Amino acid sequence: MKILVFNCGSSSLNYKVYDASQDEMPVLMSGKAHRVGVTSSEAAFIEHNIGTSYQKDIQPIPDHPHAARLVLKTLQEQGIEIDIIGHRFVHGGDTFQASTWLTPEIEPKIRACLPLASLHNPNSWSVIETCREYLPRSQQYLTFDTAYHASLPPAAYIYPLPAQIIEENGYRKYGFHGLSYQYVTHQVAQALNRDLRELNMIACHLGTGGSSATAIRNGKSVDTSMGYTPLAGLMMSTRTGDLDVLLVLRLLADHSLTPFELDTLLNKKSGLLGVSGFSSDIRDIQKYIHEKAHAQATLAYAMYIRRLKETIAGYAVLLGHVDALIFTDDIGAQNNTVRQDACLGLDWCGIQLDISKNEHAAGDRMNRIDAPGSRTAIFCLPTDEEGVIAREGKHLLEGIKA
Amino acid sequence: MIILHPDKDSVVLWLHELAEPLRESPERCVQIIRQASAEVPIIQIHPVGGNFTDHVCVSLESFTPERLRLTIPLLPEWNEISCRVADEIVSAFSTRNILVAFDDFLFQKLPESARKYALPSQFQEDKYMKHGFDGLAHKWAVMQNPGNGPLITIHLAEQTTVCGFMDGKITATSTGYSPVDGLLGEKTCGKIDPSLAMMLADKIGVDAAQDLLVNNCGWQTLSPSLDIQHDTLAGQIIINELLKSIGAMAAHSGGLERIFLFGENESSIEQISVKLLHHLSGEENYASQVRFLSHALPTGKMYAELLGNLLNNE
Repeated sequence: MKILVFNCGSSSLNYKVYDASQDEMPVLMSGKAHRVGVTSSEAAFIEHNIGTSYQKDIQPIPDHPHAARLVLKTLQEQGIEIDIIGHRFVHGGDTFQASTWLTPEIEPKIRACLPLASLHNPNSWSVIETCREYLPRSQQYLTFDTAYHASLPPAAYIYPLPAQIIEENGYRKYGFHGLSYQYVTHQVAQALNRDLRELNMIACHLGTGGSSATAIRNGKSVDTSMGYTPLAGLMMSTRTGDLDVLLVLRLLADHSLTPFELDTLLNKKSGLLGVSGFSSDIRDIQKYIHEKAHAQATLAYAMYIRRLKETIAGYAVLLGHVDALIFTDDIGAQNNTVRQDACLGLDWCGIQLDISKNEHAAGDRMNRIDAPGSRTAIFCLPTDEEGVIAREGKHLLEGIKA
Repeated sequence: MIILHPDKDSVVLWLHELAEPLRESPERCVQIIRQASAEVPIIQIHPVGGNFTDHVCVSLESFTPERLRLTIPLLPEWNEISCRVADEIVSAFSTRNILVAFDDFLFQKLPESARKYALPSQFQEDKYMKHGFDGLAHKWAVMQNPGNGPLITIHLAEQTTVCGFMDGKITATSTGYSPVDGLLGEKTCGKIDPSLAMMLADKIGVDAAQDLLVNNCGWQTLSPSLDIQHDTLAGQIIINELLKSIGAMAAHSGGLERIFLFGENESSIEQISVKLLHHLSGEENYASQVRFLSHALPTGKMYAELLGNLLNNE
């Protein structure tokens, strides 16, 4: 039994093939298409890890269906037959609070969710259609990032807008990165040898694209920094994060921008990239601060840390006590300076980082990095969204068998 | 002392510090002030002075209405009416001592990282920054709580605001570019996903979206009253937002030691204090040692105390 998992980013496509016949579900093959649909001087490419061999093909990848076709062709060349295909679907709206098979009955409801995450959902759908065309006999299923936050209480997800507007448009806080939170919280509960259902945690998914933080009480999400869309919350690589709504309207009026143009400005040209003026990559920004004392880089980094620290401390007070603070994804797992600066001065809420452990933490595995005496255990670890999707697929299969 | 506090579409006027304030047009304010004694000082609270001023309170003789008008682009919807008030008063009472107090002055001392939004550099002008609001009220609050160490001040009002201080110096505020940012108000939406503003503007137009977010949102859309005691949805949201704001302020103020709640409504202060205490108590809670302090007083009296003090120092 082999499960192919696709994880669509806005300009990337990750995939992994799992052998679901074994309990530990080993990864047989994996890879990633980079710079999908991006027009720039840097070339697009796709990489494949097949057993111990590595393959990289530089070629134009105009869209996600093209990337998916390259993956399916490689699988065919390797003689790997796929039984079921799982997809990460970022936004399942109010309709989807658990993974589901793709059936003719479900399809219209999935299509209705496409506009909810314009950077991600249409890409995932295009990959689903490509798979249907090339592997018509493989059943497909979807796993939703928003489902994890179905436990949000009304006080966290309801916006104080007129009821009619909320009903007509479905405006509410959904939250994102749910698959990542599901994975890291289970891993940390295991590491602490505790039942997840009795743990309060703050998890920070700090990615090179989107970043968010979530407050978890007794194992369930009770508040999260992203909102109806992934624009809200923390400052991100190219997204503003929180912004006064009247300033949004003023920018529209002052610069005669269309909502689409403003959407692009706030989602793709702001954040670290917008403030620094030269890079959306926090490593570049840290380098410019270190080597050139670059003023805009210094400001961008200070803003990024300030927002992150405020959110962690805000959730700490909301939760009352925090058993574990978790950093994950590319920045969270690999950038020790960000972790150190974010924790600095939070001793009052039980968060004390061990500087040495943090500095020597490896980015490719779980590390415990709190200081002796810290009331909160602090972890950094890579996330594994594809692994969660694969296990969801296995559960769906077991459901059929049962 | 006559105090004028221009709001978005009217002026709040205190003729006497303990009296109920009036809500009038700038022109009507002038008519009312004419009936008061000529000796009574007039103080106007201006929403956003930005970098145009280096004092919290200045005489309109030196800081002329023309100069005040330069501040309009910082926040047109609020500053414009304030400038109209200044024009009317100066032309009607040219010989009287008129002072302007800047409600954002306190926040000028915040670091740049606290005052900017994460927009591209071409949108990093002063007019698009977090001006901060309710600074005079929080300045009064910090004067009531001298001493070193972390202090968090919460002004419970139609639009509740929170500030953090360390050793008497401001370190953070919940307020932003306009009075709408931060915690939800009675009629204002507070901090919500910024995409919703774009979507609403696309559906109903920029002006209608602004009117909606400023005048027809807030806790009034969720519950008939705040009723913190009985856990209404609005009350729960306010408490959750306050807890997160307290944490956010404490992150920059070195911790949680003293929380000072103030405002006009004694019952609201008491109910919110009880709820916050409930959330922040318990053996495991970091905040179990925090000291809660509160003070209920009419807003006019608070401004009169603060501005009287500033007046004497000018």
